[in-house]
Amino acid sequence: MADSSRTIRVEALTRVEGEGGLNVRLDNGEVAAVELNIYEPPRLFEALLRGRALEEAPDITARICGICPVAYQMSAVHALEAALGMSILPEIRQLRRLLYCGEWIESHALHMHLLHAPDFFGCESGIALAERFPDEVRRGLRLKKHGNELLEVLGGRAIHPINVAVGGFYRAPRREELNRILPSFEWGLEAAVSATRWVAMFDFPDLTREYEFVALHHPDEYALNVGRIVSSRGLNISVQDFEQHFAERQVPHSTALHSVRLATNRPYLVGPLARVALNREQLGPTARRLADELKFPPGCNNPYLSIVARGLELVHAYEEALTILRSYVSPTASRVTYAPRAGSGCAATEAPRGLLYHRYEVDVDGKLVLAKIVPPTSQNQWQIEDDLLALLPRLLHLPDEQIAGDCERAIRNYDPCISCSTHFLKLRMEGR
Amino acid sequence: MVPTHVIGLGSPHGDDQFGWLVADRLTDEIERRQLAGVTVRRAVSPLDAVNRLEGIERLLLIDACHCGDTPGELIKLLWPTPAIAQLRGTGSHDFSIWQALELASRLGSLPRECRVWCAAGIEFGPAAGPSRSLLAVVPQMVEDVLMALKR
Repeated sequence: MADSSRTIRVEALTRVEGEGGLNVRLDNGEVAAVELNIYEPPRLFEALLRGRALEEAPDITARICGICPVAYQMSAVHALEAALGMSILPEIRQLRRLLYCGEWIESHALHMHLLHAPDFFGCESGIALAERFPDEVRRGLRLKKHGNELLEVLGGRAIHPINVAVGGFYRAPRREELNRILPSFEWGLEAAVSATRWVAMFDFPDLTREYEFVALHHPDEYALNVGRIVSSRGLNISVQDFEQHFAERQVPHSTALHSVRLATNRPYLVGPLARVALNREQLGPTARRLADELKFPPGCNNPYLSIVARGLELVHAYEEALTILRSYVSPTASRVTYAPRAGSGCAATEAPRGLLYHRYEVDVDGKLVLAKIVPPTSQNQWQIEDDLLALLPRLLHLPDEQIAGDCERAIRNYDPCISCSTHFLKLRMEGR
Repeated sequence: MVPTHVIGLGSPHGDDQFGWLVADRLTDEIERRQLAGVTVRRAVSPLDAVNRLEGIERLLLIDACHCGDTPGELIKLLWPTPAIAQLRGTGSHDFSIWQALELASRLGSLPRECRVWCAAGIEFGPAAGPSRSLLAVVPQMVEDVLMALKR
């Protein structure tokens, strides 16, 4: 009789974006533990991808996030093109940058105006903020709309675009389609500058941290899709070496993995603050001038100022989008064709919230054998907890409700994909 | 006719297509009947729907919802009835219909008359088609909107 015992093990735990909580434990009045608790079930996208045709990866991975689907599509197609040994046309490279600008505009405008700005005025929501700052909120909504419009034109629809293909796009936009949105973007650049000046005047809590900033870097452009991975502590590696320097670990209190910098066994920071610190010279001229005008500190390490960094990137995204929109010539072909072959490849691109790494292995029939995805939220998760550990000792004299509010606020500095859920954060204090 | 926006909220997924289906049919009907002063469009999110309301006196949002007792039941709500707050948002980064209308209200851009008309859906899965129950009530909703536009 055959042995009927069986072990089923799921080894590829994957990411969540959704609801989270925070547990803080105090021992004898001291902060003993801070746990950002992402408790949604794992979504297992990496396992889901195995055995699927490689062409499906951009659209399946886009489903990981409704606010940054383009980032998932971009990392997926670049990694798969590396696996196939392909090069894309320069015009396609430009169109991909344009699409990414749309996502940055949409995501950054939303977070700045409706999710983050309310924190600086004691408002419980963007709706409450709108009463005090109607013109600013109205402007934010218009900016967000521009991002959506660009995604519609280039991606086929505003949420979960469907036009991104391995090798390029299923269809390239016509010149007149882009001409239609050009005036909005000309207005938007000025409006983004005004929005950034507005947020730069906020009253920022004084909290400075010793971060290791990590971002893509490209000498000739503000890195979005390609570049080397660099850090503020001297790391400078090709994307292919990412897994030799960074790893993900399971922690008991979260279904999302924690990323760690292997050399230091410490957290690190990805996202706008890291990108502006490492790539300030590559910002567009308007954004760079604005950073100087606002005296945005080089290597700024106050996490609350991330809203200003996000504003500078909003300006940059408009500036770059305008340049591409004005010079666009329809490509000779919307994509490069390829023949499936066995191979492996990886890529990192800059999602609005930070570095997003993908690696794939493909078999000779073009089926995915392996997929690995490291999203920015899991890379920042340990850093968020570390910020809270630094912040909490200053808050312990406050009532629980106020501590919870201040912790939520610190979490929102990161615009994590659990940011909306952290608006409904459940704080559990133990041992007071 | 008073300047009116009719906005079909939806997505390509299952019964969530309802708002778009109604908007598409209405666009044809309004063109055929040459009704002036009415703009019909699709939107993907409530926030998107309330983004361009300058000069509009009447707003009608059409959506599918997880509500009602029977699939295909039509539920007609007038802002600011609290029942609108029971209609769920679609994602953690999205605004619900209530939040979006409340935001527009605080911004002073909400038209004086605002209605939310929904059909109770049952199947919202990705890549699913609309259910028969919802498809069956698309013509009814189109007729109801056209009647309302005459007022």
